Parts: sequence; C-alpha cells; structure tokens
Amino acid sequence: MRLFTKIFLFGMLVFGLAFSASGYFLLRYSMESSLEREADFALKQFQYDKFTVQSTMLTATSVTISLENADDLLPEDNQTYSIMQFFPDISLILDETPGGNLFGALASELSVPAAFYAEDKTLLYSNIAEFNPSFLDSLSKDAHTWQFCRDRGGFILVGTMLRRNDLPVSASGEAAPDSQIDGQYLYFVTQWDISRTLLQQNTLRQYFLRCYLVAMVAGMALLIIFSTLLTGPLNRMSKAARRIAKGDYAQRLSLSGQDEIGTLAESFNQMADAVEEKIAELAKAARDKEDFVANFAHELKTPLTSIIGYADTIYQKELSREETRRASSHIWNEGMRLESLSLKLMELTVLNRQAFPLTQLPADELLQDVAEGLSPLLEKRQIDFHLQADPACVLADYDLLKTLLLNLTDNAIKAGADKIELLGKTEEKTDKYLICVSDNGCGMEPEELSRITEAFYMVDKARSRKQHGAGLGLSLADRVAEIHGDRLRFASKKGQGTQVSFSVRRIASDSQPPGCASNHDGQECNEQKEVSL
Amino acid sequence: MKEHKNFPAKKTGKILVNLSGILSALAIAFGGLFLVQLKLNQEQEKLLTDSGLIELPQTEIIEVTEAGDLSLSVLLTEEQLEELRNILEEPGETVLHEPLSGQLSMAQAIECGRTWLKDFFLPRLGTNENSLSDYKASCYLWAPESPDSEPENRPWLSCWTISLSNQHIEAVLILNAVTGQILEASVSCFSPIEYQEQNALMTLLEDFASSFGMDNDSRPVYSAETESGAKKLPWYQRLGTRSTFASIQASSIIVCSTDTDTDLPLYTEQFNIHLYLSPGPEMQ
Repeated sequence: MRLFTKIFLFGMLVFGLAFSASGYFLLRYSMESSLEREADFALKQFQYDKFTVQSTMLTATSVTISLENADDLLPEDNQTYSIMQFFPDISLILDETPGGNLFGALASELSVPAAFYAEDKTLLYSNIAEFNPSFLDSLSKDAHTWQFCRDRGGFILVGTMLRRNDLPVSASGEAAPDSQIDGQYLYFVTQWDISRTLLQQNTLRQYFLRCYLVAMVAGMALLIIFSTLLTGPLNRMSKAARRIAKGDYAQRLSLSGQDEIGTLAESFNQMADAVEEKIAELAKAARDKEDFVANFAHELKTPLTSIIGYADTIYQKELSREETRRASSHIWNEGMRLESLSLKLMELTVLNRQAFPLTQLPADELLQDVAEGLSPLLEKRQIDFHLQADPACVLADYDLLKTLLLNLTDNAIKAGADKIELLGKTEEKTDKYLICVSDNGCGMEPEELSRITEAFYMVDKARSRKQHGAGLGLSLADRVAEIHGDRLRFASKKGQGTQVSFSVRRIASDSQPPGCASNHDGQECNEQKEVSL
Repeated sequence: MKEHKNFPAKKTGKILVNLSGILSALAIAFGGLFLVQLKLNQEQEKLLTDSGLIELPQTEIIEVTEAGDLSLSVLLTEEQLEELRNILEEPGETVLHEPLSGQLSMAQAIECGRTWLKDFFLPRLGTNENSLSDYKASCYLWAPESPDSEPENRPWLSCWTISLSNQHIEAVLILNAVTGQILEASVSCFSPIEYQEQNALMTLLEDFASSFGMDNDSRPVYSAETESGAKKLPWYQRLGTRSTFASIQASSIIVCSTDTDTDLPLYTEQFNIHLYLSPGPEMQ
C-alpha cells in the first residue's frame, strides 16, 4: 500500500472516529439531559396543575356551578362548599352540560391538556388528543407517574389519583356526603408537549450531519494535500535515486527545509556527491591504471628493443672487438635503465602500501646532510649550490625526505641547471616548515606542470632516457610529500628555471623535545645555517 | 535495472490494494456517520419508552372544618422567622411539593387564609366581612430549592401561597405550612375601607406583629417622617430581639369611569395594603 493511501486511510480513521465518537456522546448527552429536563418540567407543572385543580374544586368551582343550578341548591353566600356536596352525580352534570362541564372548566384553568377519569375509568373530561386510557393502569394515589409517548410529535403524560375527600370543607362543618360516582378517587392526567424538544434534537442531529459531512470533505481535502506534500518529496527522491542508479550521477534534489524531509534530501544530495566523486575517482583510477600499463609497456619496450637488437647483431654478425664492446655497452645501458625502472616501481609500490611513522627531526640538519651528499656530484658538474635553512624541528621520515630532496636536486641537475638553491623556512603563522628547491634549468611550459607527477610522464623523453630516467622520480617525490601531509607545488617558466616547494609539519619550539633542540654536532637548532658549495 | 517478469500483475495488485485502502477510509468516514445516526435513533427510542414515578409522602389527613380546629400553639422561633424573612425577600428557585407530615393540608391552608382575612384583616379596616363571599381560591405549597436540604428535613421552611379573589377583594397570602402563621399578605380592596385613619393601619401592624407571639405590645413603631411631621409609610415594628420587623405599606389608585345611565364620571378607589416581614427601616 502506498504511503499516500496509508496516510489517507489513517487520517480518515482518526477523523471519522474522533468526529463520530464526540458527536455521538455530545448528542446523546444533549438528548438525555433535554428529556430529563422535560420530565422535570412536566412533573413540576403537573404539581402546580394539581394544586390548581384541587384548590379550584375546593372553592370557586363549587360556587360557580351551584349558582348555575341555584334553584334548590343555593347555600349561604359566605361559605365554601365541596362540589361533591351539591353534585354527587358527576356523570349527570356531564350529560347535562356536554362540552362545558365542570371538568372542562377545570381543564381550561390549566395551561396544558388534561384528562379526568372516574375511579371506574369512566371518562369525565379529556382534551388530550388520542389519549390511551391504558396509562391509567399505571397510576396510583401515592405517586405521580410519568411516561414518554412518541405519538403526535412526542409528549409526556403525568398522572395521579386524586382523593375526592381532599375537597370537603363545608359551612356546617359536616363531612362531605358520599357521592354517587364510583370510588373515592379521580384520575387526573396532564399532557406535557415535548415535540419542540424532539424537533430541536432532530435539528441538532441534522446540523451535526451537515457539520460531519463538511468536516469529512474538508478533512479529505486536507489529507490529500497533506499526503501529497509529504509524499511528493519522497517520490522525487525515489525518481532521483532511480536516475542515479541508471548512471545519471549528476542528479540532485532541490528540496529545502529544516524538517526531516529537508535533512533527508540534504543527506541524499551528500550521498549523491560522494557517489559521483567516488565514481569519478574510480574512473580516473581506471584511466590512470590504463595509462600506467601503457606507459610501462612502452618504457619496457624501448630498452628491450634496443637490447634485443644489439644482442641479435652480436649473435648474427662477426663483429670486431670495438663493435662488440659498443653493442655490449648499449645493452648494459638499457639493462641499467630497466633495473632503475624496476627499482623505482618497487619503491612506488612500497610507498603506496606501507604506512610510515613520522619522527621528530631537526630540519636544518637534514638539509645539511642532503647538501653534503650531493657535494661531489655538484662539484663535478660545477654547479653553484646554495643552502639556507631555518633551524626547526619537523615531523618527517629521514630516509624518505632525503630521497625526495635528492630526487628534486637530481631533476634540477638533469634540467641543465648551473645554480641550485635549497631553502628551508619556518612559517611563523602556521605550524609548517616550507622546503623549496629552485634551479635555473630549462624550465617547463605551464600546461605541463599538471602532469609531471604522473608516472612515466617525461617532459623531454629523449633527454630523460639518455639520462636513464624512467619518468617515475616526481611520482615518487609527490607520494613522499603526500606522506608528509602535503603535495608538491611547481612554479616554472620555460628557459628560466623551476621552483618546487612543499611543507612538512613543524613542532612548536615550546613543545620541542630536548633531542630535537640541537643538531647532531651539539649546535643550537635556532642558529640559521647557510652553506654554499 | 532488473525488470520483474510479473510486473503488470504486481502493478494491478498494488492498484487494487491502494483502491481498497481509499475505499476503506471512505467507508470508515461515512460508516461512522451512519453508525452514529443509527445508535442515536436507538437511544432516542429507548429514552422515549421510559417512564417513572415520584412517590408522594404518606401524610395523615386531618379533617378540618373551621380554622379554630387548627392548633396554632406552635409558633415560629426568631431564628426561623429571620430565615423565612430572608427567603421571602429573595425567594430564588423554589420547589412545589405535596404537604408533608406536620404541614397544613390545602383545605386547612385555605381555611386559615380565609379566616385570617375575615376575622383579622377586614374587621380592622372596618369592612363588611360579607365582601369575602363567593370567592375563588388557588394555592400552592412551595419550599426553597436547596441542593443540600430536602423539604422533609426542614418542613417549617415550606409555605402555602394562597390567592383569594372575588369582585370586592383580591388577596395573596403566604402562610407558613407548619404553623399557619401569615408571613406576608398583599390585599387589594375594591370597596371603600377605613384605612385612611392612621390608627386603623397602626392597629393592623401592631396586631400583625403580635400574631407572631413575641410580646410586641410596648415596642415602638418605626417610620420616616414627612416635612409636616406625619409618619411616612412604610411602618415597621420589631419582632423579638433580632433584625426582623413586621412592616406595612399602603397605597391607593383612583380609577375613573363613566356611568352608563347618567354619563357622569364615576370614581372608584382601589386600596392596596401590604403586610410583610422586613429587615427594618435601617436596612431598607
């Protein structure tokens, strides 16, 4: 299932449950409390109506009716009589005054429809529409009974049995005579209309229905927007990942934001950068390897061709001693080249594979050793060599660094320089010690500088081969500089000379160990050395 | 990239799953609504078949034929009277109830009220007691509604409000449901009475105060005075030692009409007299 569908489903589930549950409980509470309140009102109104009926029957009604039938019944005016004293036969009155009887008059005093029944359940009067007399069965003289009815919009019936002898108060002080109607009680029932309340509840439910639908539609729209907003970036990421998988490593996401998706997009882009970089590195490594193999094959082929040729000549022809010696010399020279080539390849392999621990060394002493080692050769070639070294303690491998400097000096000699300068300088602002070898040799074109550290690359191949060069010296030197935390930097101008520089890490003078503070001859390290050969 | 051989089938399956998810969401949304309506209908049906009953207190019915039968030997104490005065001043929510044991029945209450009007009130105003003939009565018994006190617990807090009316008089009386003492009376007379004599009103007030049985004979009557030094209504007389006063207020309205025979103007005066309990002049 798609994330979009999951979010939509879950959202609708939460929305639906929350709205349904809250709506249900709210409406149910409203309905229960409304009906409970209506029942309470109905009972209160019934109590009031009951008092009205009782008090009216006790006083005014008796007199009113007695006046209407005053021919033989008119009593003294200033006394109160019970209706039962003068109208024992209620049913007779009902017959005589249909629709306008005593109980009709009583009912008209009330604000709600009412019904009166004799104890034998004979109807005395009722203005309650469609009243079901079975309700009378539940009435008793000791309680007010109520019942909800759904008919005609809804109402509450409340009723009780009224004791007829509640009424007698006579002028003579005699108790009321027994009436001729059956029993001592009357049924009194009122009807309390609750149709408005039920209608209100229905309206409330309709309103809830509309609100629910509107909320659901709005919720759906919001969920769709939200899901789209949430899954859109993920879809774009998915597409970008697929494109990267197909080889489009330049694919990136243009998503911003500080949220998780923004962070994910940033991480995705970083990952794509790393992948692209790695792929480029791998491609370059593969290309370099191919170039290396090609160059290596070429470098092998040249001396081998020469060796094979001269060996064949010696084998095929009758040569003089001088010719044989010259041919052998060529074979020896090319063999030497091959030996040099194999040695340097071995060194390069070793440098690439081995980890070299760097130790603390006095830099000026190291440079002095290099200068002393070169002095016979430089004197022989009549090269003006100048060394200037600041005393400092550096982290370096003695042999590797010496090899590096000898390589650079050897290159300067091969470039035909008659003046070489070796400079060691402390950079005050950093923890670096800068070493610089400059010459006034033939120099190089600027475009060649970027390739001269490649294996087997030779600026002047003829000259280089003549000098038993294999094109691996600067590769080795660059690798040594890399081991010391830097790369070789070249500055050269054709015909004017070349300057090669690199730096090694310097140990600060305050943390300099005692062994590093002075050179091997016991001289102070901070004394600047200047040597000219 | 690897392409699955059954890709179309998987895609169809995915679409079906997603579609069923969306349909489930819609079913939950609208099913919830349907369920709510169904459940509410059931609840309403159940509620509308409900019924119940309120049991009435079982009281001993005392047959009373005259007010003299009522034993008024029990009177309200000062504290009870003060509490009732507070309730009558600010009735608040009230609850109607059936007479409880020890409380007057409706017939007794009406008879009490009628007797008070006939034997106490009207004679002191020099009015013919026949003006009480052929009256109409309505009454109800009430008690202050209190969440922590049922009428059964403090029956003396219940009062009967009785309205008696005919063509001569209209009276609303509030009498204590236990003792039958008249606590408040508001009477409008449509026939001439002798209230203009200050003594009649003074006597009425003093006798009204004495009816509470707190030995009020020697107590002064308080009132404000007009600029001419006459006593200005209402008048007050203290009951007991607390700040409950019997009070009287009177007013009249003259209604003018035309005699249908002579076309001459007829003036009818309506007198209103209000006897009540109050916290006294300083609290008014």
